[in-house]
Amino acid sequence: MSASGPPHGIDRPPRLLEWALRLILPEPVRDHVLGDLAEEWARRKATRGVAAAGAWYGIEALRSVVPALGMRYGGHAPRMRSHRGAGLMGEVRYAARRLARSPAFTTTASLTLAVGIGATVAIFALVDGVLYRPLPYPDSERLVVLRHAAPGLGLGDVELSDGLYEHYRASNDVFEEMAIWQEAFVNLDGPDGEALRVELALATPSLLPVLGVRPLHGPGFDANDDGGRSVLLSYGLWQRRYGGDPSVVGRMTLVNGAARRIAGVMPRDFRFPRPGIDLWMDLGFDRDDLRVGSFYYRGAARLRPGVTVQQAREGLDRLVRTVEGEFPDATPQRLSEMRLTPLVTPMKDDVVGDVRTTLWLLFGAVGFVLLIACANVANLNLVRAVAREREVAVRAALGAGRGDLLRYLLAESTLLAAVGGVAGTLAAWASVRVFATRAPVDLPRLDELAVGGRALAFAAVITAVAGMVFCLLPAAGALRADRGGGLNGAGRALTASPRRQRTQRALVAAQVALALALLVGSSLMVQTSLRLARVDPGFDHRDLLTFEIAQPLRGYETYERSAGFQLALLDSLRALPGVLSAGAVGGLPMTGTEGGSSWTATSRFLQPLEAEGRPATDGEPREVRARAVTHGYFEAMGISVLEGRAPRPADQAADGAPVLLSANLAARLFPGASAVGKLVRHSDDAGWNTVLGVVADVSEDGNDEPAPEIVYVPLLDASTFTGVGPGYLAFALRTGVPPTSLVPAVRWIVTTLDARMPIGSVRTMEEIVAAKSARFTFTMVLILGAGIAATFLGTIGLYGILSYMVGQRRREIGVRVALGAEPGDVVRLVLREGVALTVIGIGAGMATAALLTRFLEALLYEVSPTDPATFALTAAAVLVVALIACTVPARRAARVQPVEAVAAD
Amino acid sequence: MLNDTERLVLLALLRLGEDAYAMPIREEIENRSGRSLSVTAVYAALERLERHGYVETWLSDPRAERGGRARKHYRIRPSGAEALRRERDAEDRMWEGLETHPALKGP
Repeated sequence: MSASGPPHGIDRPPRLLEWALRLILPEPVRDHVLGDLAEEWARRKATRGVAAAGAWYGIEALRSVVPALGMRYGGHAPRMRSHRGAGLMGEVRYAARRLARSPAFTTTASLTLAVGIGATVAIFALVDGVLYRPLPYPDSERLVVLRHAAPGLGLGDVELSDGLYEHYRASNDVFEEMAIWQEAFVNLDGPDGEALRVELALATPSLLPVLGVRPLHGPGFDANDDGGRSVLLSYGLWQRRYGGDPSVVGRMTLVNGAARRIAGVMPRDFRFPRPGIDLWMDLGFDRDDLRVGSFYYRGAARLRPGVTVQQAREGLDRLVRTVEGEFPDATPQRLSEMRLTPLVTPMKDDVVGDVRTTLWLLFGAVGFVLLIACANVANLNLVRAVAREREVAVRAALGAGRGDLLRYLLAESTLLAAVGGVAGTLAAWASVRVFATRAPVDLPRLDELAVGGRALAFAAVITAVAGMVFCLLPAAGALRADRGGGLNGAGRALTASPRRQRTQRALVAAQVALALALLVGSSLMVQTSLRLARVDPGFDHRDLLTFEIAQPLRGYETYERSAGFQLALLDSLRALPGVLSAGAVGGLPMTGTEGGSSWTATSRFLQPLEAEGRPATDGEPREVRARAVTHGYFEAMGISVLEGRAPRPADQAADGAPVLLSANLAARLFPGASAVGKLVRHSDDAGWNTVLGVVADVSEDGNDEPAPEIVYVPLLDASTFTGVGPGYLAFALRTGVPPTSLVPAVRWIVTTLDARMPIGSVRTMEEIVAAKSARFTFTMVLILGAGIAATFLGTIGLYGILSYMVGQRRREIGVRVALGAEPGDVVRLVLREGVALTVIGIGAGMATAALLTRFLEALLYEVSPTDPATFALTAAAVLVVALIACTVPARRAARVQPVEAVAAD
Repeated sequence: MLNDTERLVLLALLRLGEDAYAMPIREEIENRSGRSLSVTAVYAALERLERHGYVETWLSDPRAERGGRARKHYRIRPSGAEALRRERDAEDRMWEGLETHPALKGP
C-alpha cells in the first residue's frame, strides 16, 4: 500500500489540510506526523463523528505550522520566544551597522528606492483621490447628474431646462429629491461698502437636501421666506469678509444692488458645484415663465434607495414623453424637432470627467520608474551578495541554519526597504500637499487631494514587495551557493556565478527597455505639444489684456443706461495710452464661458439659425453658438475679417442689426457663394438680420478641437433689448505695451464709471491659452520627467554593471595586456559588452513602446503612436547616452597594468 | 542540556515503556503536566533526542488507518535516562534549602 493515502472509497482526513501539511512538514517527520494525525482522526470519527474529527484535524494542522517552519528554517530546535526575538532585532542592529559602513551603497540604494516609491505613491494618491474616493457627501453613490441629448438639434449634450425640472420633480418615482442651479458672477457689497466680485451659484432650495449637507450656521434656504431671495455664504467668504462672525446670519446684504438676507454659512469643505463658488442664492424662478427648451441649468438628483441609474433613466424617459402642452414651447412640433433623451450619470463620473486616461497614463509612467529603481537596487544587491558570500560561508560553518542565514540577509533588505519606503512616502506626502494647493493645472477634486490611509497602505505594500523581492531575492541566492566553496579559494572564488551574471545583465537590459519606452512616450507628447502650438487658433493671443465685469440689474434697466455704460467704458479704454483697440464679448475663447449678457433675446448661447431661401435639412445642426460682440472686438482679438467688414458703432443702432458668421458656418449655409449681404434669422417670428461679414474660424474650445460654427450678434442691439439682467461681459484690449502694466488704469476707469462694479478675471490671453492646455502640458512634463529619471537610473545601472564587470575581470584583462593587447582592444572589449546589453534593451524597449503607446492616442495630435522617426531618434539617443556611460569603465579597464592585476589576490 | 519539551518527552517515554509513539506521548504530557503540545512539536523533540542518541526507534508495519503509513515507535536509551538523572540532580541541588523560602509559601 502506498504511503500517500488510503485507497479510494475509504474515508480520509480533509484533503486540503493534508496537502497543506505535506507542503510545510520537513521530510524526516512528514509521513509520521500525517500518519499519527490520520490515525487519531479515524479514531475520533468513530467515536464523535466526522465533523468533530475534521475540526480537531484543522486545529492540529494549524498548531503544526510554527513547529514545522521552525524545523525547516530555524534549525530543529524550537527556540524560546525571547531568544528568537533577540535574534531578529540583533540582526537588524548588526545590519544597520553594516549598512552604515557602506555609505555609497546604502545611500544609492535607499535614494533609488525612495524616488521610485515616492513617485508611485504620489501618483497613486492622485489616482485614488480623483477617481476612487467617494464624493464628500453622505451616500454619495446615490447622487446623479441630469442632462439631455437633443439629437434633433444636432446636440449630444444639453443640460436641463427649468420646465423639465419642474415636470420631472412633480411626477417622478425614482428620485428622493432633485435640484438645478446655474453659475454667475455678481457684485457683493461688503460691510464696509466696498464691492467684491464673487462667483455665485443660483440654485433651487432643494440643492442642500439633494447633497445631504446642512449649513454650518443658520437655517439655510427657506422656501417660505418673505419672497425675497436669500443667500448662503461660503466658509472662506464668511471668514474673509465678515471676520467669521456668526451674527452675520439674518442680516441683509446687497447682491448686484438688490437686498438679500444672509440665511446661513456653509461648512468649510463645502465646494459645490466647484471650488471658487462663494455664494449660493435661492433660484426663485417664476413658475409662469418656465420653458422646456431653456437649457441653462445643471441638474442633480438623489436616487431613492434601491433605484439604479438605469431605472432612473427609464423613469425620466417615460416622463419626457408626457411634457407636451405643459409649457408654452412644449409644442408637438418643437418636441419632435428636439427629440429629447434624458441622460443620467453618476455624479462622481461627471466630476471626474475625461481625466481618467491621463491619470492612468501617469500611474503607468511612474510604475515604470519604480520597476527601474527596483532593478537598480537588485543589481546593487547582487554585487553586494557576492562580496558577502564569505560572511555567509563563515556563519554556515559556525552552525547557522538556513533560517539564521535568511534572517541575516532579511535584516539588511528590511532595513533598506524601510528607509527607502519611509523617505519616499514622506516625499510623496509633501509633494501632494504642495500640488493640492499650488497645482499649475486644473484637475477635478484637487482640493480633496491628500496622502490618506489607502495611499499609506499602498506605500507599505509596494515597499514590502519592492524591497523584499528586489533586495531579498538576489541575496537569497547566496544561500544556494556552496558554503564550503565560499571559504575556499579566498578571493578567487569571489566572482559571480554565470547564473548571477545572467540575472545582472537581464536587469540592466530591462532598465534600458523601460527607459526607452518612457522616452518614446514623452517624445510623442512633446511633438504633439509643438504641433498644437503651431495651430492657428484664429486670433492673436499676444499683447492682449482681458477682464470681466458683472453688470447688475439695478441701475441698468434701460437700454440707454446699459449701453451707455458699455460704450462709455469702451471709449475710455480706447483712450488709454498703450491701448490699440478694445472690444467686448459675451464670452472669450478658451474660457469655457457660455454666458452672454442675458438682457437681449439674441444673446442665448445656442440659438437656431436659418438662412433665407435655404430650408434646414435633416441631420443638420439646427443651433449654432452665438457670441454677442461690440464693435472693435475683432480688431482687438486679431480675428481676420475674410469677407465684408467688421461692425462699426453706427451698426449697433441699425434696424435688423447686422451679424457676422464664422467661415465654417458661412460655408455650410451658403456653399459656393459669398455670405455677405445674405439674410439670416434666429426664429420664425424674428426679423431677418443681414450678414455683414465673414470672419476666420476661432478655436474656442482649444487647438485640439475643431472650431465651432459661430454667429456674432451685436451686443448693443437696441431692438432686442429686454432689460433682464444681470449680465456678464468680457473685455479684450490689444496693447502696444506689456498688457499687465495697464491693469491699475483699467480698474480705475471701471470704478470711476460705477464704483459698485469691480473687475475680475484680469488676465492676458496668453495666460488663458496656457491654462487651456495646462492639463496636457502637465501630463507631458510628468511623463518626460519620468523618462528622464528612468534614463538616468538606467544609465547608472549600466555604468554600475560595467564597472563591476571590469573589476571582476581585472586579472583577465591584465593577462590580455600582458599578451600584447592594446588599450584600444580592451576598450572595445568593454564597449562591446555595454553596447550588446543596450541593443538588447533597445529592442525590448521598442517592442514595449509599440504595444503601449496606443494608450496615448487620445492625447496625441497629428502624431502617430508608432511614428517611426520618433522611435528611431529615441533609440539613437539612448544608444549615445549608453555609450557615454560605458566610456568611464572602459577607460578604467584600459589602464589596468598586467602586474597589479595578477598580484591582487 | 535538555529543553522543557525534550525533558517532558523523555519522562513520558519512561512511563509509557515499549509501545510509545508520538500521540500517546503527547497525551501523557497533557494529562500529567497540563502542557498541550502539537504532534509536530513532539516529533521535533523526538528527532533531536534521536540525534543525541537519547532514544532509539523502530517502525511498525504500514497500517490502513494511518493511510498506509508505518508507525514510528520510540524507546528511551540508557543515555537518555542518564541525561534525565543529570538534569534532576542539577535541579535538586538548586532547590536545596529553598523548601521553606518565604517567597515560595502560598498565600
